[in-house]
Amino acid sequence: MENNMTHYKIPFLKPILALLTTSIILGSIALVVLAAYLIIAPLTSSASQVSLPVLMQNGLQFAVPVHAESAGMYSIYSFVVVITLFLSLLFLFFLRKAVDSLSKKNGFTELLPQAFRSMGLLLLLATYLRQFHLYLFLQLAGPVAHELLHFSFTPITSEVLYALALLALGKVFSYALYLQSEYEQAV
Amino acid sequence: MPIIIRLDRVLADRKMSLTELSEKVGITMANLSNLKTGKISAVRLATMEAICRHLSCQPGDLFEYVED
Repeated sequence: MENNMTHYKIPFLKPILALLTTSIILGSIALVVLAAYLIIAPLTSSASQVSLPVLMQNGLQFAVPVHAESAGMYSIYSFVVVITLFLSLLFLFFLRKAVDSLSKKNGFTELLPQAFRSMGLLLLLATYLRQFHLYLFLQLAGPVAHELLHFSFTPITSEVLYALALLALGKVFSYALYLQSEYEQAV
Repeated sequence: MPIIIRLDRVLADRKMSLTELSEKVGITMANLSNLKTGKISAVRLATMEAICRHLSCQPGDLFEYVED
């Protein structure tokens, strides 16, 4: 008749936690460096040639000329790139919080559903921002990039489905938390 | 809450301490204390059965409904 719930220790959470911490630290440094590059590059590069980063899985980079008339577009592009990467970092941060919460043997906490909800919303936002960033990039890069990259707005991508799954998981954890509190308040 | 738990009264009648009941029933002192003070939302039938067996009482002796 012991009232405490049996909490099972999930293996491999500590290495995952360490990996996520390292990723967040390295990602933060990379983001700061990239932000500095996006600010400094147009000011220092010769012949108005700036190498623009594109947020793709293979980390493509293109050398595109940035003219004075496209400075506004370049600013928006830089802002979108930094914000998208920042949202991705926040996603990792919440993922780390969720893993950390699971690694402690105190059952479900309030943090878990909140983390999954935040992760879902961040992924949703980052997915559309990434599409917007690709559109901006193609506007900036001109015909050279059009031969290599193609943009078409896709409302439902696999990332959107993952985001919806995370939001649903947040609801599931929220209900689990409610059941846990009911269990704990019963003698 | 209109449900009043009369565990302390039954314990006093039986001249039994909460610690003693805790040892006999196998419920932690913290949980038993929560039950006594009404800081719980539910009581399991297994718990009721164990308490009633060791205190030789009926569930009705432990609870009382008082209208607000």
